[in-house]
Amino acid sequence: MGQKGWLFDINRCIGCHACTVACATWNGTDSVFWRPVATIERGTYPNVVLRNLSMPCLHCADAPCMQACPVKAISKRASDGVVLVDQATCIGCTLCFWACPFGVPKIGPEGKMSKCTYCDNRPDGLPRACEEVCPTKAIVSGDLETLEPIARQRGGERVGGPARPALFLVR
Amino acid sequence: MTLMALFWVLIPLFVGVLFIGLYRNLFAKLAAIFGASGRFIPFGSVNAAALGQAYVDEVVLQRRIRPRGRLPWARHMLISWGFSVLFTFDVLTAVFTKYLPSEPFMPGHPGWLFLKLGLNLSGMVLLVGLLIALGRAVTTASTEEAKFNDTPGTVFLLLVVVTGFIAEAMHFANLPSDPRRGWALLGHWLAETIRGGAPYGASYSVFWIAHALLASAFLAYLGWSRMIHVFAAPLGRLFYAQPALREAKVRGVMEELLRPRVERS
Repeated sequence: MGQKGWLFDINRCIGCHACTVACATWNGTDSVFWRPVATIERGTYPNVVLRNLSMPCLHCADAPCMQACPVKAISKRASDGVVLVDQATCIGCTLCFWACPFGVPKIGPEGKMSKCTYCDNRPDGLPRACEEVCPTKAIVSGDLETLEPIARQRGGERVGGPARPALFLVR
Repeated sequence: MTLMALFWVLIPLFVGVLFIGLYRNLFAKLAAIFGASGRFIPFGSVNAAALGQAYVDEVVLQRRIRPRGRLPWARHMLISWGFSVLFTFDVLTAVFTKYLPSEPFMPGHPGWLFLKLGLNLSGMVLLVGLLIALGRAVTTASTEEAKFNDTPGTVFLLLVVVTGFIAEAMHFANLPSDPRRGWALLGHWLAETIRGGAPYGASYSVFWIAHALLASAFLAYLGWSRMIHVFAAPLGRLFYAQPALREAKVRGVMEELLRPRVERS
């Protein structure tokens, strides 16, 4: 298996937050949202455009959160490149949040860092919870090799940067 | 090499190991983080009130541990405050009785009794916290909860505290009984209990050196284990409690990602 990742189509996202709710429900994260939706308003009336971006952990190839963790609580699974946090080891220092180029890690009510696990508790064959409920198919998950042709077809590109996030963005 | 000479070699070595650990596992990481993302973080918008509130919540009252239950919170408060106050009194004792000795802090004087009270009271608070932690480690040993325990750290610190009390008790037991030493609480009580076996010449030295070495080794251990949270967690949480900094960091990234392709090219 290759590196798992995401494709997100900004042009298709309607900002319904179904992904946020599905993620929190499936993973039982209560009030901590692993997949929040950011909305940016652009332009001036009457030419106003709302653009939404649903942002989970991007399971970066060179995850800066992993390098920043002082107790090595964050690891990258060799089989699929998913970045995971060991809750027992985490000391809740938030260095991962500041190191993450996307500010993804969330601190739960118990003071431990938590974030998207790529639904690692999902039965085989099922799509990720967020992907499953997205009404416009703005979210697609899978191996980067599988996502690349879809992204190209939709006119998207892989997000760059030294962390090499596993995200294709269509904008 | 005598035991005492070894002691004077090892103490600075352990303190050096602490600083190397802190540099490698914390400060170098902080430098890399803020070097890379500093452009997103407007330090000018630091909110002093939020900083103060975070200090009270995270350091003084340690509220984030409260949802885990009364016992875990009480245990952490006892260990954290016991350790901090004990360390402070240790430094004060070294300054006023060794490096800048002054009359009021000489044995038997009020300042000395005050130092002994502070050392023993904080040591006892720490001891209670550690015993609760050890009890939890034993009772949760074969459960899922066990992975959250820092048993090596607990046992290590417990050894430091226990050898400290035993060394002090042996020292007092070697001296003629003095009711004013009652200010030394557990140290005094232990001394009176073991007085029958006095004098404790060689065994006192062994316990004192063991205590000093273990205490220094524990300082070194702080920088290389989960105990680094003593420094890292309050620091990170104080920054995290700044909503303006957090939002600015995330917003900058989102705006860049959400910019239409046409605008970017």
